[in-house]
Amino acid sequence: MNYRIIFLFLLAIGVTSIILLFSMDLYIHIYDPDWYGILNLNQKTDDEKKRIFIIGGSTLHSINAVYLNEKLSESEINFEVYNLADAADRPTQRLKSIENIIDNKPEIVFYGLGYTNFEKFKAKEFDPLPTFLYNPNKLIRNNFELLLDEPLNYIFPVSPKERTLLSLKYILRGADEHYHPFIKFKEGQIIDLEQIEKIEDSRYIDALEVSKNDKEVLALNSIIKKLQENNIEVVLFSFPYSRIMLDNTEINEIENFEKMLKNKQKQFNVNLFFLHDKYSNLNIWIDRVHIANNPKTIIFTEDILEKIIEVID
Amino acid sequence: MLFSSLDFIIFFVIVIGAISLFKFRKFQHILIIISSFYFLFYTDNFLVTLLILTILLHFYTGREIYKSKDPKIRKIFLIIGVLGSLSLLGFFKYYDFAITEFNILGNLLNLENQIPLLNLALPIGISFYTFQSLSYIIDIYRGHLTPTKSLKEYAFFVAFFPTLVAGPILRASQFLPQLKEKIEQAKSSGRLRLFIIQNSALKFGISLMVIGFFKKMVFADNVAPLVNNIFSNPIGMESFAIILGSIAFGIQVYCDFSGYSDIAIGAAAILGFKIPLNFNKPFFATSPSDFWSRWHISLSSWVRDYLYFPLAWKHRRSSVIIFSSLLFSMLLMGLWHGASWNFLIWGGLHGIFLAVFTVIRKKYSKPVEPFFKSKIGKFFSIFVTQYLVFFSFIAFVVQDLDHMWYAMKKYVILDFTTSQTIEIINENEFAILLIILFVILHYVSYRLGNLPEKISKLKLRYWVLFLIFIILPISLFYVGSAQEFIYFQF
Repeated sequence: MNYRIIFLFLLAIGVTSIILLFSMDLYIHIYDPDWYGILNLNQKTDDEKKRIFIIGGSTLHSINAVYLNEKLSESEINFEVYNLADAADRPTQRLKSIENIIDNKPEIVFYGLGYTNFEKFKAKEFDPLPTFLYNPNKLIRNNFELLLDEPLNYIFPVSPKERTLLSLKYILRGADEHYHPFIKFKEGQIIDLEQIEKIEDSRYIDALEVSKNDKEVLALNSIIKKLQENNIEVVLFSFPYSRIMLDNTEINEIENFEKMLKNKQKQFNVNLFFLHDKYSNLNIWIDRVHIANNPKTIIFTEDILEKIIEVID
Repeated sequence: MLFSSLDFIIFFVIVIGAISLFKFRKFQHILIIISSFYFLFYTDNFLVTLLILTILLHFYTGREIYKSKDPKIRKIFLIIGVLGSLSLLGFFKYYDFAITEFNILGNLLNLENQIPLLNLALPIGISFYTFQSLSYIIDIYRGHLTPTKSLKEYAFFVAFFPTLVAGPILRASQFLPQLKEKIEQAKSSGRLRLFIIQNSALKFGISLMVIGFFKKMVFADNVAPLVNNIFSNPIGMESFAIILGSIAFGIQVYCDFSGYSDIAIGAAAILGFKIPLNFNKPFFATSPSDFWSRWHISLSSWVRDYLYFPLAWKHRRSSVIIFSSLLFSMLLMGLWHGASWNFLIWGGLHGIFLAVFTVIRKKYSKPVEPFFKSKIGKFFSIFVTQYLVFFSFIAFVVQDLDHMWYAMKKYVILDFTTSQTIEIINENEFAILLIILFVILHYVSYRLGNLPEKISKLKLRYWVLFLIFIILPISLFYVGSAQEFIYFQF
């Protein structure tokens, strides 16, 4: 066997892996609200309005920025809101693109965090031989996670296709939706909480890691610091969870999470409000953690609007 | 174990690595046989026993057929072998379907009791390895093949993991000689050969496997959402949306299945085995019979050699016999794909197309031959053939009969409205782009001939660029989890 051929094949895989890893977050690093794509170079945005960015994970997708901007416009408030929620976001991930956020000069950043962002990762222990026989994939994955002390999902993209298409579309014609650049704000169905409970496996949160030396907490500190150094006002809030999630999490862990955020409020003198249990019993959900994108779930957006007006005033 | 999963990559690398490192003949053969059983066990657990049963049944009946001089005894053993494996296939694949239809009939006749369904899991690959084994004993019976004396050799042939779960369906006459060591150019010894991974085979095999992954993971998996969008409930869809859906499905199933075949043929090539092509540019077929010489070639040739010819050969001058033999063979081919009326209808449609074409060609070929030899004639025949092929794909993809009937009507009788189709196109831009890209690439490969062979002969520096060019879109457009191959359900 020619080991040169094997080497070149592995080289090709190596090169594509490097390109893949760099390209997965491309869109978030090059994002600019004034960019309308190569195909629309003449289009301009309204430069006069000040910007508010909402950042956080996919749980914030249902905040309707178009609605927010309509209401702000009606009240003649000279601000524009952009929902920059990004799937699988967490502080260490967001820190990588914080310079891009700063470069786009927002006045205020609303940062939504959940206790699941601080879940203590523990690679599962498998009995090696039976696992290797039945599920070699799980054995390899588990050993990698043990080595890296991080879930593989944090390093390797779960759905490369979505991110690739997002980047390509963004480069060619700007964001599909101007105020929701990273996700399609498509109307979705509300599913009854009882139904969700039946169709989805319960997800138990064993423990959170919110100590001051935890890497996510440190990343959060860095994010707040960098934004404040650039005269950007920071508002922290906890994003909503359904009762299915809350019921499967220890109360003292949630209290630790709240305590950590309150400490940040004091440490950095930032605004803070909690929404994690506000809508837990309402039927506004599409799954355990996501509120449906639906006119009937506008309560979440309206509460955000209230806070925005409060902060501006 | 899906080909497009990490599990298979790990498995394949281990097998190739072990073969390269341990150059002991017996070890290599046992390794591949055990690996093949493990490959099936990984997906199907205890149902691997069906494979073992099939191997034992056909090995021993094949031996008895060959040994016996009495035609009656030979026939008895043939019937035992055929009925034995078809019973297994029939039970696992068709029992619940038959009982469901029987219960429906019972309801119509107001019978009170219903026969309970067993909800049997379909053993992976059973349709493929059953047909593969049947060809072995039938060829022995016909005197076309000398049975192998070694059970190990026979097990290797049937269980060979690259082709085990979704073909191509191998013929013993083509495969078994490849297992034997060639001492002189024309002769082969009685010994099973040592496996040595040749450079040219490695390069060709890797190229073909990568092309297979590209077809499956870039085209098939990304066109699938458009197909589901249209055919999950086609009632109310416009004609152009239905036509778009059937074209998309045709491309999806072609890329899915030919992609799988490419990976299987490439893996076999690396191990030193030449497996015949299973697809040969079917979308350039100029007639229904040409289509079946290009689509799922291993199955269509199996049906031709073991079903159609025995039925029609003696009375081949009779159009009625030819017509009915073709129709019957294709109905069974449809049923082979699945225990469901839609597959029967799909097979029946192809049977009708083939039969009508065969009869017309017999009677009217001479006056129209010059036209069909011209460029316009060729284009016309491709267009008509593909129109019929994509029409039949509706039966393949839509299980509900009312939905199927609606979609077929819309395909044939156009309503000329486009608003919904435009909306679908806007919502599925990426899939549409892939369809256009597929058409271009398919035409290019049609013009260039054997593209994988040409690619494998490139200089190493260009070959690496080709690999990067192909692997990059596979990784960038990976949907996020290994998607099952369509033909796994057969």
